[in-house]
Formats: sequence, structure tokens, C-alpha cells
Amino acid sequence: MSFNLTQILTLLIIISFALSFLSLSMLTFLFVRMRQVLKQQEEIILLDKKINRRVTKKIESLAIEKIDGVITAIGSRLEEELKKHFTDLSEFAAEESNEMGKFIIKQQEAITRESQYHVANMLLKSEKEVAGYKQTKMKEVDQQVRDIVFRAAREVIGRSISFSEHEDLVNKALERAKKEKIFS
Amino acid sequence: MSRPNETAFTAFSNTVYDMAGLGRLFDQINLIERSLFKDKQGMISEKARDYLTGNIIAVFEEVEKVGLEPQDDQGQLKFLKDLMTYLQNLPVVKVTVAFESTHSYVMKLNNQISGYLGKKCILEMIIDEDVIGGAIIEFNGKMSDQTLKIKLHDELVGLVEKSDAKIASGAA
Repeated sequence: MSFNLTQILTLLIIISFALSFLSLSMLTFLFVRMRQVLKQQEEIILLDKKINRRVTKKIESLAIEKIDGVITAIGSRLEEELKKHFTDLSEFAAEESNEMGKFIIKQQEAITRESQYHVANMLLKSEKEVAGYKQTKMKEVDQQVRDIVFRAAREVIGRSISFSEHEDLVNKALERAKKEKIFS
Repeated sequence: MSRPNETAFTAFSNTVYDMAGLGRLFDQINLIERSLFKDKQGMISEKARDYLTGNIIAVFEEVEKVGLEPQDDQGQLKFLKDLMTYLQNLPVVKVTVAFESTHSYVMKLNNQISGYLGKKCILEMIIDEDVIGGAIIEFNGKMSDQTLKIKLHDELVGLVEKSDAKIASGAA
């Protein structure tokens, strides 16, 4: 069997058409398939997101539960520790207060003793000073009285002595001075 | 100092009785001393007649009359200096009295005390009314207090002591 060129060309064209049709069909199929895959992928992503949200929520709730538990435990422990600490502190304070009280009592006693001694000394000193002051004042008064009497007497006697009596007194004074050997 | 000079000096010292009089005599002698060589000749009484008044001229005249005063200027100057020294060395008796004494009384007192001393003295008269009466006599570092002040004081002290003793016995 022989084929002319036209036939061969026609055949070739037909074959090419057929191949083109085939390839186009294949491409269409591939396109459709790819779209399906893409859609599936989107669905998977969405599902994944949903799952993620749920897991997150679950983890959160679990974490909250755990943390609550831990906080509760720590809170109660802390409370106990604080109670103990406050108890220790109050005991310490009571003990210290007791010691301080004893110290204050001792100090008070010492101060009282010292004050008594000081007051006694002050009293003694004051009594001495008063006695001294009294004696000094008495002496001053005594001296003042003597001065007053002496001045009064001097005034009275001085005025009553005449010139001739003065001379007589001086002459007598000279005689006594001579007897006392003042001029020898 | 020669004997005649001492006789002459006594004539001067007999004219003074107290420190005030002695001070006046010193002033007069100083004045004569300054006027000795002022172109005048003769005895001191003649030279000083124009400068001085009072009895000092008379005393110089008496001394000159008995020839106890030198005739030359230098001798007269020495005479005056010796006279000053003599007067400065006269014994001083301090007498404290309560009244202002008259000149005649001071003279009398001086004569009396000079008699006690056996030589001419000068009185240093102090007036102190506090002594009341009598006198305090001080001489040559010694003192005799013969005043009414001390007697009155003694009497008062006695009285006060007696009254103190009475009070004390009454309190006991």
C-alpha cells in the first residue's frame, strides 16, 4: 500500500490534531486536578487552623488549671510560712521586750540610786551653803550694826568735844606715847 | 658740816614746825639760791631782800650778825645747800588728830615733842575726823594709837560680845 504525499500530510495533520486534542485533554485534566488539590490544601489549612485554635484553647485551659493549682499551693505554703514567720517574730519581740523591760528596770533602779545620792549630796551642800551664807550675813549685819553704832557715837562724841578738850586729849596721847617709848 | 653752821641752821629750823612750814621754807631757800648771782654783792639778807618778805630775812640777819654766814658767793651757795640738807634730815613725827590745829598749837606740840626727842623735829599733821579725839603718833616706824576711836571700838566690841554671850546663853 502506497500513500501519496497528500495523504501522508493529511494523516500527519490528523495525527497532530489527535495529539493536540490529547494533550489538551491531559492539560484540562491536570488543571482540574490541580484545582482540586489546591482546594484540598485550603481545606487542610483551614482545618489545621481550627485544630490549632482548639489545641491552644485546651493548652490554655490546662495551663490555667495547672497555674491555679500551683498558685493555690504556693499561696497556702506562703501563708504557712508567713504565719510561722510572724509567730517567730512575735516571740522574738516578746523576748526582746522582756529583756528591754528588765534593762529599763535596772536602769531605773540605778538612776534612782544615783538620784538619791545626788539629792543627798545636794542637800548636804545646800545646807552647808545656807549655813555659810547665814554666818556671812550675820557677820555683815553685825558689822553694819557696829558701824552704825560707831558712827552715831563718833558723831555725838565728836561734836561734844571742845577745842581745849581736843588739845587735852592730844596732850594725854603724847604722854602715853612717851611712856610707850615711841620717841626713844 | 661745821659746828657754827649747825648753830646757824638751828636758827632756821626753829622757824618751822610742820611739813607745810618746811615746804614754804624750802621754796624761799630755792628762790634765794637762784637770786644769789644776779649782780648783787653783800650778805644773803641784802641780796634776797627784794625777793622775799617775812621772818626769813630776819633770821639771815641774825646769822650774819654773829658771823655764821660766808661772805663770798660760792660760800653762800654751799651754805644754802647745806641748810637744805640739814632741814631735809630733820626727824619727822606724824601726828593724826581729829581737829584742825591752830599754828600756835602746832608750835606748842612741836616744842613738846622736840623736848621728848631731845632735838628739833618737824610735825606731819594729819586731820582725820574718824579718830574722834586724841592722836595717833608715828615716829621712826613705831606707832602709838591713843584715840577715842580705838577706845570706842573696844568698848563697842565688848558690848556686842556681851550681848552675843547673853543671846547664846538664852538660846541654850
